[in-house]
Amino acid sequence: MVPYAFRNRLFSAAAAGMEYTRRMSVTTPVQPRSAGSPLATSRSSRILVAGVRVAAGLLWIQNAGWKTPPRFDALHGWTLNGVDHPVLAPWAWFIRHVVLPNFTAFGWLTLAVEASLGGFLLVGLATRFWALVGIAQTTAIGRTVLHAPHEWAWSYILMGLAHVAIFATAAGRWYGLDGVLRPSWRQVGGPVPRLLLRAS
Amino acid sequence: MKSVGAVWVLAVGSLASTAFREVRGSAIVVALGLGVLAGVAALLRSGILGALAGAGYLAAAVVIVAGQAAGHTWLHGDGSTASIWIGLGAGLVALAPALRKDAPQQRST
Repeated sequence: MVPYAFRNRLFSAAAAGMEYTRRMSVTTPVQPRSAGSPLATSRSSRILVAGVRVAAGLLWIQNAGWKTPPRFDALHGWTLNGVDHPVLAPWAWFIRHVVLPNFTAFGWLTLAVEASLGGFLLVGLATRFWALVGIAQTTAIGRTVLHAPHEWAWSYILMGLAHVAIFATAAGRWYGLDGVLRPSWRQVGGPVPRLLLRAS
Repeated sequence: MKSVGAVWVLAVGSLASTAFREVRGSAIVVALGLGVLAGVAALLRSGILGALAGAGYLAAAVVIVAGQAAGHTWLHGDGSTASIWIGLGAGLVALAPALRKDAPQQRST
């Protein structure tokens, strides 16, 4: 049994401790981890990050222009490089046995993905998700044409790295729609806004 | 307020896109018309008009590529035009609910 007086002292000490913790949490500002980062403090850094995002968007916008349905002839010609000048044997097998026999569907998928990449990166909506799609698409293109004549491997590596940078900096939050809409998504709640918060 | 500004940017962007060769012929009419509609949506802070303009861009993007596939020129343009309009359309549709919330509350008398 704990003596009554001792138990009282114990309770008041605990209460004082809680009050101290509460005061400290109110009066001591917690420094956010990003406080010293260039993106938090430098406007020019934010503009540069937005510029990289818009430039990547323009890259895809321009390249959606030559994927012409219904035959996608130019795209078909480029895809053959993956078989004629194989980069990885399993990928070449995939192109020969899966992509080429179903080329119309593949062409539509490519057009949809690249046109959406351009549009979404341009306005900065769900940017991190589309940056991941951009990395995947760049990898697919690289695996297909890397060994084709007159190709420069680093162009695809740099293209992929641009999307990595867009993902890492969450580039849509700076001068993009993600930055405008994230507060309202956070406020509204629900599955779709939660998904968009993760995608941005 | 930020969402109103963003809709203004997209509206002006749509009008400015007519300077690019990707937006030509009848596509200029679409870009100008929907750009003005987006501007009106921003002016009136109307989420419905914003969503309508966004849906219009997305529909126009589909019409362009469907026309290419069918061998008709229902709307001038190509995948690049469609790509720009997907961005504008998705952006306006995403902004529409926030635009409605930004509308000034009517004072009851």
